[in-house]
Amino acid sequence: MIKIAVYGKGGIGKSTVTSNLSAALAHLGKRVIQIGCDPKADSTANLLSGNPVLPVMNYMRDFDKEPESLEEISKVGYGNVLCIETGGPTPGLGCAGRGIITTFSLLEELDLFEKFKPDAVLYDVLGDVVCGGFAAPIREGLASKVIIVTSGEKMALYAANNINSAVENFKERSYATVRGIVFNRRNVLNEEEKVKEFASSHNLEIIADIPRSDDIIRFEDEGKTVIEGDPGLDVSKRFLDLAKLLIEEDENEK
Amino acid sequence: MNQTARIISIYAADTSGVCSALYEYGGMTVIHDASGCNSTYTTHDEPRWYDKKSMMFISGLTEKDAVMGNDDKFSADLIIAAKELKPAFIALCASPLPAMIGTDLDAIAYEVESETGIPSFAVKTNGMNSYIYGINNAFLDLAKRFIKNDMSEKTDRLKVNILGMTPLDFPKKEYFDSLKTFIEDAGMELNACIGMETSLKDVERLAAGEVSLLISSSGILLADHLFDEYEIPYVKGVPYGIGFSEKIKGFLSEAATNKKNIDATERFRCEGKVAILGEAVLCASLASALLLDKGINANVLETVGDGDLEILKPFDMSCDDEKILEDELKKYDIIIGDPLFRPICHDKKFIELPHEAFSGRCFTKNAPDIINRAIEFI
Repeated sequence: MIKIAVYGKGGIGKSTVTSNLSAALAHLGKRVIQIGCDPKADSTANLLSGNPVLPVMNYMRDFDKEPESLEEISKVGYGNVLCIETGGPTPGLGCAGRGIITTFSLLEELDLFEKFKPDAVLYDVLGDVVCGGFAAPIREGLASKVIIVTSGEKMALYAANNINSAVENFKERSYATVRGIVFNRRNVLNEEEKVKEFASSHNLEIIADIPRSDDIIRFEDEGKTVIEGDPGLDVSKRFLDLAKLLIEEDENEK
Repeated sequence: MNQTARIISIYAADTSGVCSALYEYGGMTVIHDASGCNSTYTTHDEPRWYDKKSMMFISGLTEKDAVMGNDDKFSADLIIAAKELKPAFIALCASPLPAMIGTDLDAIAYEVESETGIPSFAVKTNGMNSYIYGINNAFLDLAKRFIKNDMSEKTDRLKVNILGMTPLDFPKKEYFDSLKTFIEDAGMELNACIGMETSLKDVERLAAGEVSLLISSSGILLADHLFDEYEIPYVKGVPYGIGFSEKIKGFLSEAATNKKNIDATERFRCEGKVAILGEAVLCASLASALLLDKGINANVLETVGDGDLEILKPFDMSCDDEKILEDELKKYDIIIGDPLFRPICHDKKFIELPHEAFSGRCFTKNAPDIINRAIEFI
C-alpha cells in the first residue's frame, strides 16, 4: 500500500499537492484515503467540490461523544477518494497534537483500513513537526514515506530542513523515511538553484517539479483539483507522473 | 452525579491488569508513570507479591521529561535495566500521562529490542480502562510473541488450555488446583494455563491445545486468536458447582470434536429475583450453577462496564454507574456480590462473594472455592 505523509511550511501548498496527488492516484484507478491532519481542516476541500467533511474533533466537540461509524466522519470525493479531516480543538485551547493521536486511535478502532481497503493513504500534516502529535502520521504502521513540499523561499527551505532533521531523529524507531521533495515553484529569484542545492546537500531527490500555475488557482476557486478540472494540462501531468512513480515503487516493493 | 462512585469501590485499571497478566512469565513489565511507587499495581491488586518475585517497574516520569519529550531517558533506563536483569521480555504500558501526550511506546519498545535483542512490546493501556482490557491485550501480545507451532506431543487425552486466569478474578492458588483437578477428573489433560501457575513454556505450547476453557472475559482476545489462527475452539464458563461442571466437561469434548466455540451458560439461565454482581463470565457461570444445583434463578448485573457482554441475557444488565445500579438493585430480593457493594443494597439480603479486582486483598480469605464442588455459601 502507498502510505505517504506530506509535510512542509505553512502555506507552501501541502494541501494542494496532497489533494492533487490523491486525485491523480484515483484517476489512475487506485482506491485512495486522504487524511487532513491540520486543525484548519481544509486539506480535502478541493476533492469535495467545496462541501467540507465534518472533522473528527469537531464531531467530538459538537456531539460530546466519539463517532461510531466511518460514515459520520468521512465523505467520498472526486475519484471516490475517501476524505477525512482530524480538525482541532477550540482555537487557542486544548491540544491539537493530541487531537491527531486521538483521531488515529479512533480510525483504528473503526477499522478504517480493513473496511475501505485502500491502495493509497495520504496524510496531509501541519507545517512543522512541533510535537509528538504531528509526528504521529509517520509512526510505524501509518505512513512509510515522507514527502516534503518546498519552494525556493528561505523560510520554506528552513522548514524543510527542520522536517528532514526531525524524521532523521526517528530512524531508530522504524518510522517513515523521507522519500523526496516536491518542488512547488513560487517563481522567486534563483529558485531552482536554491532548491536543487538544498536537495543535493541533504541527499534528497526532487520527485516532482510543480510549476506556478493559474490553472491551480482557477480550479481551486471551483472547489476542484487540476486533475478533476483538466487532466490534460501540463501541471496535471506533473501530478500524474508523481502518482505513477509512487505506484511503480509500491509495486516493486511488494 | 452520574458516572461517579461515591460509596462503592472501583475496579482495578488496565495497568494493574497488565501487571497481573504478565506476573509469572519472567519478563520485565514497566509502567510509564509519574509515580515512583508501584504498590497500586503490584501489592493492592496482587496477592502473589509476597511469595513470588516479579520484575515490575515504574519509569518515574517527570513533568520536565514529559514536556520536553525526553523519551531517550526512558529508553536508556530500560536498556540498562534489561542488560542487568536479563528478562525474558520487556513489556511497556502507559499510565494516563504518557497516554495523553501520545508517547509512542511501540517505537520505544522497538528501539530497546534493537539494542538489547530482548523481545519487547508495548501493551495498549491508558490507565483509564478496566483491568479486563489490560489483561486481554497483555495475553494477546504475549501469545503473538511466544506461541510455537511445533510443540504438539501425541496423547490419548484431550489437551485443554485454561485462558483468562489472573488473581484479579481468581485470587487463590486453590482455584488453579481445582481447575486442574476438574480437567484431570474429566479424563483430559491440562496443556497450558495462561495467567497463574504458569511460565513462558505454557504460552509456547498453547497451539498444542485441542480446546480452551475460557474462564473470564480477560482471556477472550487470546481465545479468539487461538480459534482464528490455530482452529482451537473454546468453551466459555467457569465450572462452578456440580451440575454445571458436568455440563462443561461435555462441552469441552463437543467443542473439540465440532471445532465450534460454545457458551456453556447459554441454555442454563432463567430470570429471577436474585442478582449476581461482578464480572460477566464468572457471574453468568455462577447463575448457571445455581440453576442446575439449587434451582435458583438469578440475573447477572455486570458491574465492570467491560468484558464479554455477549454472555448476558436480555434480563441481565451491564451497569458501572453507582446511582443506576443502586436503583436497579431495589428490584431484587437477594444480592450476591463483593462486600463493598453492600452499602448500596440497603435492607436486601446480601451474600458476600469477594472479588479481588474490586476490593483488593480486603476479603480474599473469605472468597469461596466453588470450582467443581458443591455451592455451600448460598
